[in-house]
Amino acid sequence: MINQPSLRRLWWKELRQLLPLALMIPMLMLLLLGIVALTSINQGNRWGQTIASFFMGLCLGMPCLFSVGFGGVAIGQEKETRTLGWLRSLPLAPATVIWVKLAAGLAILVAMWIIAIPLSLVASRGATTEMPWNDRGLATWIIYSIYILVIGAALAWYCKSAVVSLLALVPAAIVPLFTWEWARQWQPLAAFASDDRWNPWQPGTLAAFVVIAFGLQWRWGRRELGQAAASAGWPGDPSVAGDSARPWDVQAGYSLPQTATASLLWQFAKQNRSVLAGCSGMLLLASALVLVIARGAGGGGASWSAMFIDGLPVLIGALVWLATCWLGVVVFQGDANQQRIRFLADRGVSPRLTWWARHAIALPLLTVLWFVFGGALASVTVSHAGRGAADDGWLAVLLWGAAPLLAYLASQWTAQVLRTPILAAIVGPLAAVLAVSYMGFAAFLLQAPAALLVVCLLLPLVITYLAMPAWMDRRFGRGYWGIQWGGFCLFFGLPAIPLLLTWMLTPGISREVERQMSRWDRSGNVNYSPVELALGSRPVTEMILESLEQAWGDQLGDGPAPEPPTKTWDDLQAHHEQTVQALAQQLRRSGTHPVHASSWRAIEFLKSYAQLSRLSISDPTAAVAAEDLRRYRDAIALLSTIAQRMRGSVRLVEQDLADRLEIWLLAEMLQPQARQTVGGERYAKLVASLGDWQSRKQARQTAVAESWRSFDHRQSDFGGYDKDKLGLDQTYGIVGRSPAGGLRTDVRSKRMLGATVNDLWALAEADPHSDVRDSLQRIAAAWGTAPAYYGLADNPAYFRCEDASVFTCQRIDSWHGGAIASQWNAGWERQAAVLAEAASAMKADLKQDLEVSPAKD
Amino acid sequence: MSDRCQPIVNTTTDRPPADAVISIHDLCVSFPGCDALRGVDLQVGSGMVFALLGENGAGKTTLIRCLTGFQQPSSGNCTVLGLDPARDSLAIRRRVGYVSDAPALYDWMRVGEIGWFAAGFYELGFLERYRDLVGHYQVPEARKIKHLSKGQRAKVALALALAHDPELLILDEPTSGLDPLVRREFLESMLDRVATGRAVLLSSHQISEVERVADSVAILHQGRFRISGNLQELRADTQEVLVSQDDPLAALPPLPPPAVVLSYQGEGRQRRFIVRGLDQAGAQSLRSQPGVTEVKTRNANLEELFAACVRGTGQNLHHLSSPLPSSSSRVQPQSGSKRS
Repeated sequence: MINQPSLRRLWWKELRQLLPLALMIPMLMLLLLGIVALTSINQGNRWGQTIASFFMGLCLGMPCLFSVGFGGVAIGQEKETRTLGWLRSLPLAPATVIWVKLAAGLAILVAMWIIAIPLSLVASRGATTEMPWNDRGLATWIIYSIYILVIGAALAWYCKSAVVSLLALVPAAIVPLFTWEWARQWQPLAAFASDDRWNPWQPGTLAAFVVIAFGLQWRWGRRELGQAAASAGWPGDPSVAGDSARPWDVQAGYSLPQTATASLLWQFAKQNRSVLAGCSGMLLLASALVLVIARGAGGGGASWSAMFIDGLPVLIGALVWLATCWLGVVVFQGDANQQRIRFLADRGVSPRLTWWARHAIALPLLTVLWFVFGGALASVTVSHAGRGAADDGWLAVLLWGAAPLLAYLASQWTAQVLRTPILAAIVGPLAAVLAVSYMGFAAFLLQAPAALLVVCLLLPLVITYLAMPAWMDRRFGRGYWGIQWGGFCLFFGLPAIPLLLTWMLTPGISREVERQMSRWDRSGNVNYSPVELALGSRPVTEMILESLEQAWGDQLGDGPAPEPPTKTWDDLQAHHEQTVQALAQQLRRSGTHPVHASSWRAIEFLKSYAQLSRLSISDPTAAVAAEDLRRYRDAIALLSTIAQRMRGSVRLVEQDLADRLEIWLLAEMLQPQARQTVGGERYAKLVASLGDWQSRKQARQTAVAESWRSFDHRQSDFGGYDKDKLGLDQTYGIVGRSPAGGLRTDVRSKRMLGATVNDLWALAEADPHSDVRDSLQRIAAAWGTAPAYYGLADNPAYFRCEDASVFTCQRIDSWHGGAIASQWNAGWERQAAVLAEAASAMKADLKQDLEVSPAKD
Repeated sequence: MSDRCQPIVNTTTDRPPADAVISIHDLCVSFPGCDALRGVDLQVGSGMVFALLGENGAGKTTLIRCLTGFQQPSSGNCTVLGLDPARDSLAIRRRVGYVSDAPALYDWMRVGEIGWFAAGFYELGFLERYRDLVGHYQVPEARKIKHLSKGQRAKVALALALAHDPELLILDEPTSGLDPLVRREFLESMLDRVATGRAVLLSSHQISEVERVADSVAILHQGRFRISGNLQELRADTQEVLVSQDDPLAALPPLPPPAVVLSYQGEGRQRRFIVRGLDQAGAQSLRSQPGVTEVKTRNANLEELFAACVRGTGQNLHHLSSPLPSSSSRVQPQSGSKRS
């Protein structure tokens, strides 16, 4: 009977041995979580949900991952380092060693579940998806993790190599899934296995599998730790006498030596034949399962259960991923095992040649297997979605071709860095996930150029090639780690360089302007809740057309235009009146809130209404001139109010619309009989308002500062402008425009916008007589609009209003909306100032006249 | 004095001789917290067995790793077969046969298979010689390496190291754990090598076997050569001296030059020295010292020399003799040497 101190020390040894695995898994998971957090950084509000969902998955996956690695670390590693032999030499019963190992693994598994379940429950609250199971599902999953742990231990006892035991775990892990499915389809069990109301079938079957696994690990463990059977080892091998007589070399074709390359290829293939065959089998099985899914989805063949069909993609993904990564791991770990590589190093075999010989088998094998798998995927795509989709499918295959290559390369890199085969086999696939995730992040969010991505893709290959001499010689000094760490930094740093360069080389906002604007922000004069002026449920134009159609009927066509029917015309007039009154009411109700830019239809309506009214006044034949005059004045009053309210907006788009409106109003005020038509006092106020460039300047500065402050890249909004339609964005890298956007595009547009803000601020600060052509030139260039819109072309006054009385490009809907601040500091502002001065002088004269007149009387 | 071995006091300014198989100059290797080699100088010519002695951790394996290019020296330089291990390590390894104490072999291969596999990396004739050797050692070719005994594994390793007829054979404690018969075979094979004009560098702490086969020895201690030279000369030149005094508390007078005390033990009235370079006149002079009642001398064996070198360090022996003459050596072969 074993004494307690010995048992405690054995416990301590086992727990200490498993601790690195138990700690490494959460660390890698956190690293993965970090990568996912980075890659989903542009998801806005959904970011938290994505992270929570992923975290929930990680919490539930961690215990199972530990179970996968347990056998290899606790048993396989001891076999490879030959410490199991020493353990056997201690006065310990084999049963003690077997059960203490298993108990230590189960204890850590239970601890992981105790931590994982509450964490995943917490995470599920913030996740988009619920916990992916009911109470039965959770029980099944927990029992499954126990099954994996115990069968992993059994296989580790059975197999000579830890990596092979890990490979053998894959089919052992999927046996329950196939058993369930088989039972469901087998008539005697079908009714029981398909009952979903209370179905202990799955956990029950798993429990049975756990019991079998316990038995196997007990049997195989005892066989490994007990006395060797008479048939094992030496006597099984041919006797010395027999050896000498046997012409084995002639049979095997080893009579003649071959070249170094051929020797190395032979050695690699023969040494790793189990792993190579296992990985090939996994990829071929995955291809076959793809076809099973195709048949299941197509309704042909056997009636697979929904759970089976749903579970197969996960299984296929796992098979493909593990096979790809383990092919990468075996490149170096086949030789690292028991330091076999020293044999080649001692004999001066070229490290470069050795490196090539390893990849020369693994990489072509991977390519062929992926070709088969890709073919299966493509055939399914073609059969289900047609040839059109197959084009995209092939593109997907091409894109996904980079992922397995990177997974392979990252795994072989991991295998060179880690010295324990079993650790490399566990960490390799996780490291590959990290590498592929980061490359996705680099491609879609960092928007690294394709050439740089290719360099990063091949970097693991270059690093292992460069580190090969030191690795073969086991010279793990500064040079070796310099290459490894340098490669690591390059792999993660290179894709970020274009982003950094973009940030450094793209001119941004100046500190001075930023300082001035921040001071402006702190003034607290920001209250933006705009009002949108609506014309009513039916658009006026539609109503007019409908009325005309009703009135004229078939008379429309060639020949003289018929007279408008009086009744319809009156109806229209009444409708217009109602619309104007409605707009006035909307303005009154909204208090002093700014008018939103989307009110431009109402503005155009009011402008047309006013112009028509004015034309009626000037028409000597008009019978109702007084009525028209009232209408005109009402419209001008409303438009004047709208212009002022738009100036109150903190968005640039409203400032520009206000410019447009003020230009129109100025043009009206410049009409020959404007003072009389508008009314003396109203005219004076309006003209004074139009000439008040200080207020306009302040409004524009506020808008520039606030637009910059509230610049929201994800909504592509800058001061009300749809930035995406403009020239700020740049396509980078292999991604045209990813749905989530790109950090590099964000940085560039933000920087360029900052530079534009410098000019906008300078424009807003300049007085109307300043020369602002340079600023306008830069704004036009950065904004991606034609310089003509800024009066920088042959006919400067066409788009940019230098004289409001002759400015023809008046309509807002014909305004080329991209031209931000195109009317700032233009001639119309000077014109308005002159008019205001003139009106002020006239008013003073009039006042003087009025004051003088009584005296005269 | 034989002309076969020419220990040199200062070799730092000497150019390596053209036929030197191994040439080491002021070689230092430092690891964090430990200086493995501290300025080693050595010249080894062809056609001889050179034995590197030292206790565990003395720096023997580090020196061999430097020679085979597995270890970058911190300072100093060395050449093997005229090649620099730092630059031409692969070429050196192809021309050198190297057997370590735990040779790395592919245990899934058969004995014949591993020779066939290794033949791909060497010139033609490797496979035939390898088969001759394993036949000579009576190792079954069809047996898998993992099923070989330790001695058989060592034989396979030696066969692999010898099959390309290397100009230099480096053996790093190759016989540890082998039975006497296998060890004898091993050592005999080394003598065969030397007979054909090849050099053998043997690192060991099996002093008795070194004494049987080595032409020259160097004793490495704490990263420095304590003593080096032709074995016969060293044996002839090193003596155990027992001095009896009438007063146990009386100070012992210094030994007359050129005698060098390697180690000293005092017990009662008797003093025991291991001394190099004590001639007849010196012994006579010692006898005539006041208080000395008796002086007995005899030639020390290699084991006593080794123990003296290793234990003697750290004791303050300067009051007994002049300092040790050299930590450098040049070892040249002597034709027609006769071994026991």
